[in-house]
Amino acid sequence: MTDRRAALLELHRRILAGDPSASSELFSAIHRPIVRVLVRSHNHKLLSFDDAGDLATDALLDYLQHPTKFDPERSSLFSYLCMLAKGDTLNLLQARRREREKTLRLVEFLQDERNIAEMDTCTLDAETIISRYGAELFDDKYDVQVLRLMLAGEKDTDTYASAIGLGSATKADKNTAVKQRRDRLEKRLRRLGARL
Amino acid sequence: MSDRVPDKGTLLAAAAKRTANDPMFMGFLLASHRRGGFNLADIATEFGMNEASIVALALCRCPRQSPELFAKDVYAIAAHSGVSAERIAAVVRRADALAALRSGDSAQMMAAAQDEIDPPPTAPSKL
Repeated sequence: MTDRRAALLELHRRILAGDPSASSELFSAIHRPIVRVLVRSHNHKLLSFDDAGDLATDALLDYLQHPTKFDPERSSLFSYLCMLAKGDTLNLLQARRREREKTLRLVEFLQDERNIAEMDTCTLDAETIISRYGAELFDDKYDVQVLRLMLAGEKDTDTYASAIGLGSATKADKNTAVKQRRDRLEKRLRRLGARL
Repeated sequence: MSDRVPDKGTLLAAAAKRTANDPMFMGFLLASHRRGGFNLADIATEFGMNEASIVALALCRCPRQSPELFAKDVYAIAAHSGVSAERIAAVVRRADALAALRSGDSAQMMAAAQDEIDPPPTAPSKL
């Protein structure tokens, strides 16, 4: 048995016995080594240091909540914690990949006017886009309203005009203002989609 | 890439901040002591300690409540973190008192308000 394995096993024993400082010693001994394992295993563009740190912390907190789940006969504590952290990492990266794919699908839909009417099931994705990318998509609060209407498949120019405060404008002014906003938003969404 | 992993102190400080949301840890009681905030520098200043000591303290589990274990645990945490046992006991008791106050349990509040602990049979040399 290696020195580290024996030391960690002793910490595990102390944790089971209720020693309150053992958790702190465990963090000190093993948190950074777990982070190193995670960042070695994954592309840094997908997994930041902050992510890796949080995942290592999650693994340790999970273990400290349920220390009896660790079976010293089956693996070392370090391997066990790395396994927990790697599992959470895969879940995190898969969730992010799914979010990116949803966003891409949404943007692809937007690129094709014919599909906008079919987008009523994408409301949640729209909200994700609004909350995450709103700062770079919108110039003002009216842009948010216009995007929501676009994603709801709205076709009526008067509805758009009312949403941007031009309900009483002339038809020509409404058409111009609505088209300008929609074109600008679609252009920014396409740019966002290309970057994702 | 892995060589640029943040240093241990930075990583542990971030982990310690996470414990502010977990009642199992002293970090939670420290946050309660600071009325919900967990600023390492502020706590270190208040306690007259360096931030590493506060991180070590935050990552300890809270002392067990039974009278025979409470003092033992507080001294163990003190020996590990370098923060005085009296200070730790005061933080724990204050957090308990605040929790009791919020729940309206006056008996628990009175017990929690007793922030003195009996010295251990042989006090650790760090204290």
